[in-house]
Amino acid sequence: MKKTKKKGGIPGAISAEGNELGLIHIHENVIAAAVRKATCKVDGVIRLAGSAIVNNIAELIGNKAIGDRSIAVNIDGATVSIDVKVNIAYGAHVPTVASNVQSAVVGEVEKITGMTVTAVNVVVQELDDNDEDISSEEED
Amino acid sequence: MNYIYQLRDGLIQDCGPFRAGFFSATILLLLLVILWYLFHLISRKRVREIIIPGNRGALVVSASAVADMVRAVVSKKFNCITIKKIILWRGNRGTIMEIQGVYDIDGGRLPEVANEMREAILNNLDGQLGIKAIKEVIPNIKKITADNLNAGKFK
Repeated sequence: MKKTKKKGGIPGAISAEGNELGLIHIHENVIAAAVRKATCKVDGVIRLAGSAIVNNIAELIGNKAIGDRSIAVNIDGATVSIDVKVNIAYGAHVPTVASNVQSAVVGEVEKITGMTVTAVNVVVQELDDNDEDISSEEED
Repeated sequence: MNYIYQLRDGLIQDCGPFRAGFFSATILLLLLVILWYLFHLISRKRVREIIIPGNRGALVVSASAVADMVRAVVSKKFNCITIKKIILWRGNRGTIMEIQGVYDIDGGRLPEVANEMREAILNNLDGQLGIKAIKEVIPNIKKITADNLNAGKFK
């Protein structure tokens, strides 16, 4: 299955020449959703990075869903490179967590889209304490 | 230098008032550009993130994450130091970390505490974040407090 970047069509989408029935368009939001799901499952990742206030305002305006603002997807033909900003738990070994994020994202995106992931750049924005979440849950 | 003055005076005398003003403005603008260039040449450059290249993509650790780690290490191991600000600079040999803080005099001898803190931070940077680019940690004590002495005085 040959995939090419669509020019002048749906913005942020790639086209796949599937069969005679038609083309399959995969929007970058689909890849972003896969990245979000894979990243949040990795041990040591607390959440995707980003300001809650900015995200809320952006969502109100209708720019992008919360979390997607932390993910940048660069599609180039049948390959894709991804930047993902995360907050990692204090105490976790950051290079290991980042490597796990890269593996998880590559696996998930390649499984879902069939595209080749060339690079996953992990940006560690902050180190958070897990205790804050636990104490707030206990208070509830 | 005298030659430049003579040249400028000659130019201004030969020209009308508009051209004289134009030449003066050009010289002033050139001086400003040179000053701006010198300022950027001398001033230290802030580091916003540290990039660790890898096979499947880079690991980028933001200055904020580095600061979080340093704050956690210092607050756990060095009660006598309260961090106010952490700045990362680009130095000639690598990245330099400046830690601005307040020191409580009951903590012991400052040079020894500073050395221990420096060692603990560098070990944690390498061990937890995998960062080897930071070559130097400079503790910058802005203020010294004596909480216990003050407490005794006001009892």
